[in-house]
Amino acid sequence: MGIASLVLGIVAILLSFIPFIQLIATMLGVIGLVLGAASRKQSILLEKPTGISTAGMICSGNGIGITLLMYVACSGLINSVVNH
Amino acid sequence: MSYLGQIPIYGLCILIGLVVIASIATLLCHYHKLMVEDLFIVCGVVGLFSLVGAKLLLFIVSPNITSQWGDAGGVFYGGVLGGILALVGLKKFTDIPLEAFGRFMVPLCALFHAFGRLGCLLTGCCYGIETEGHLFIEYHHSLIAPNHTHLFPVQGIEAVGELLIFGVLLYLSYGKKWSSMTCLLTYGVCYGLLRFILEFFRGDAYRGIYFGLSLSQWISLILLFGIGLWFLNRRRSDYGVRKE
Repeated sequence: MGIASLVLGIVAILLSFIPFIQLIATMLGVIGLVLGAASRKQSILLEKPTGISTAGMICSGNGIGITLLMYVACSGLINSVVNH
Repeated sequence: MSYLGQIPIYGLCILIGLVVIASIATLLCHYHKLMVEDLFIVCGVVGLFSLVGAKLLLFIVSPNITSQWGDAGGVFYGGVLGGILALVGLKKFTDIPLEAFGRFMVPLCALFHAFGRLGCLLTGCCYGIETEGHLFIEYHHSLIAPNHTHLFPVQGIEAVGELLIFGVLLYLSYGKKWSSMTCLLTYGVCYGLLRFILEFFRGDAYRGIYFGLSLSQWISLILLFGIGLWFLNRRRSDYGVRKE
C-alpha cells in the first residue's frame, strides 16, 4: 500500500502540470493519500518503519495541492490568453 | 466562470475552503487525541465518493453541460449520496472511530458548503430570480448570470444559512453532546428545509422542473421524508425497549 501510494502521488504530481486533466490528477492524489494513510497507520500499530508510507502521503498531498494551484493558475492564464 | 483579475473565483473559494477546513480538522484531531491518519482516510474516501457522486448526478440530470465535467461544479445532493455511501462502507470495513470524527466533521461540512455558495455568489452561477426589492445583486461581467439585472442573492442567503447551521451543529455537538449521527440527521433536516424554500427563489431552471418542483426540491422532500421515517422508527423502538 505504501509503494502504491508513493507511485500514485508521483503520477498525480506529474499529471498536475498538464491542463484539462486536473480532475484525474486530483482523484489519483486522493487515492494515494488514503492508501498512504492506511499504510502509515498499519506500520505505526505494528511498530514498523513508516518511511515509504509517509513519503507516499507527502507526494500525494503535494499532488493534490499543486493540482489545485495549477487549476486556479492555468484557468487564469488561459483566460488571459483568450482575452488578448 | 467569472474571474477575479485573471483568477477563477469559484475555484479560489473552494481552495480557501479546503485549506480552512483541513486546518481546523487537523487541530481538532490533535485536541481529541485521534489519529491524523484516520482523518486522512475518512476525508479522502468521503471526498472521493462525494466528487464522483456530484459529477455522476450532474451527468444524469444535465448531460449537455459538458463544460462542468472537468470543472469544479457538481450537484450537491449527488455529493451527499456519495458521501453517505462512503461512510457506510467505512463503518462496515474499517475500525475507524467515526462517531468521534463525526462530532467535528459534520459541522465542518456545513462550513465548507458555505464557502462553495460564496463562490457561486461571486461567480454568478446558481443565481436567483429577478427582483424589484432592496435586497439584490447586479452582475456586470458574469458569463453565467444575466448581466445588468437586479437578481435575488439566493446564493448569499444560502451561504449565511449554512453558517447558521454550522453554528447550531457546533452547539449541539459540543454543548449538548448530541451523537454525530443525530447531528448529521439534524444537518439533513435543516439543509433540506433551507434548500426547499430557497429553490423557489432560484432563477436558473436548467436542471429541470418536474411536477412544479425542481429536482433539488424533490430530493429535499425525499431526504426529509427518509429522516422523518428514521426518527419515527427510532422513537418506536425506544418506546418498545422502555415497555419491556
